[in-house]
Amino acid sequence: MERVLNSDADTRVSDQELLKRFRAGDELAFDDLVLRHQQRAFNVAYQLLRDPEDATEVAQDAFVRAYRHLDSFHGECEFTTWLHRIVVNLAHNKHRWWKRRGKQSSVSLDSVAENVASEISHSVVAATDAPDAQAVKAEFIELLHQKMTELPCKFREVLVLRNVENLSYEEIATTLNCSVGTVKSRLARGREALRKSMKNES
Amino acid sequence: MNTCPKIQKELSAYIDQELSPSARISVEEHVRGCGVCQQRLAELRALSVGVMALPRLHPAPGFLAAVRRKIAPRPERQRKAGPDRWLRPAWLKVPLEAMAVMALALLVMRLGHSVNERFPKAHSIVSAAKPATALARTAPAPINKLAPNRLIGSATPESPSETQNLVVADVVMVHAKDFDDVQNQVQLLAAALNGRIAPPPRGQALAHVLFVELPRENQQAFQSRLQADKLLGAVQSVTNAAPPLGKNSQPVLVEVRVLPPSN
Repeated sequence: MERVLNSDADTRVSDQELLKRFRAGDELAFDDLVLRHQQRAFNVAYQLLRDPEDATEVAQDAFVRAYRHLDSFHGECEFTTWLHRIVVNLAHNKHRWWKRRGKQSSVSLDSVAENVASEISHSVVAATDAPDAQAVKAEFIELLHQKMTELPCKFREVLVLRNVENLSYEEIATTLNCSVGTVKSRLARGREALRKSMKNES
Repeated sequence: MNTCPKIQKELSAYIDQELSPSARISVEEHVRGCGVCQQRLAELRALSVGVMALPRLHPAPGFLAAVRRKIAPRPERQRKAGPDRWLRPAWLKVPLEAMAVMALALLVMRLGHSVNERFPKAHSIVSAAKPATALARTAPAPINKLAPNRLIGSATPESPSETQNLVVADVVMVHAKDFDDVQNQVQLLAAALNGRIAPPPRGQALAHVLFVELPRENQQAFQSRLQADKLLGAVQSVTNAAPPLGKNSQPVLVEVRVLPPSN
């Protein structure tokens, strides 16, 4: 059986084809799936956990779980959606694990950041538009980075899947095993919570 | 009527272009004439763009290798890969020592449920395995010793007075053409043990492991006969969990134990 040498380069081979080859006994096909989706899996985990080591562990474990449970995947959704679901679930577990052990899952704003928060909040609108506001934009992103970690998991998940992974509401619903209405509601509430947090509102 | 709260709930989906055409028109018409909602929409858009621009990291080199390492301990998938996997030349070149290690590993896996079993009688295994005269004259079985007398595990005793530590005394690789050949090999081993191996100390059991390769077609008959054969009382178990070595042969793990005195 001919090996797919570089799946990123060879977009003609679909995930379904690789899964078919893997199920036929071609272990290398699974390697290609890992190479193709490792960045995506890692990035979702990182955006949810904000810790490179935890994200690496979660992303790797997601592939291990995918490997071991491929028999239960019948192609009812895209492989990436299924993989996302595993990553999100594992990240969720990791988050709870740390929470039980008292580790803060987010970096609290220190006093300096608090002081600049209100100032930056005025730049929220302009930050992405002003061409000469790179410094403000960097601060805005940094603050957003921190504020994201303070959001409840259910909000962070939908925001990451929507704005980082660019999934549709339907894909997010499949990933999280919930309704499209729930996705829409969580995104609206999550963004509102983030907006208030960024504006230093209570 | 203040429609702002209702519209503001829709702004998120509006940004994502997930509203129906009619709902989208309603939002646009309202926002056009409402400064507050214009401001809210702009802020939410900025947040969405900001989330998209969050720093991204790349997985560390060796990601795939790490995944493979984590997958490796699971053997089931290897079997699913098909019998041809075991027929590759590389596997056939595996030395006997490596196969003996595999036999040891299988034995360790068995410890959890086998060591705790109360053995029938002290010395019963060795004494029951006395060979026939004709067999005694036969040359000893080829023995490939591996870590003799090495303590490989212990078990929780069934009672406070009973402590069974299992010691692997030998791992023997034999090749047999048929059942009689295997029987001879087992008897030879038992004879050898009977003559030169002292009963183990109290609280220990010795395990002698035969790793037998025999024709596949005889395997089932071999197992049933071996299990039932009183002469081979030394045989504690027969396991065929090892991978096949070739098209026509199947290795069988035979565990032979020597028990400590009961008193």
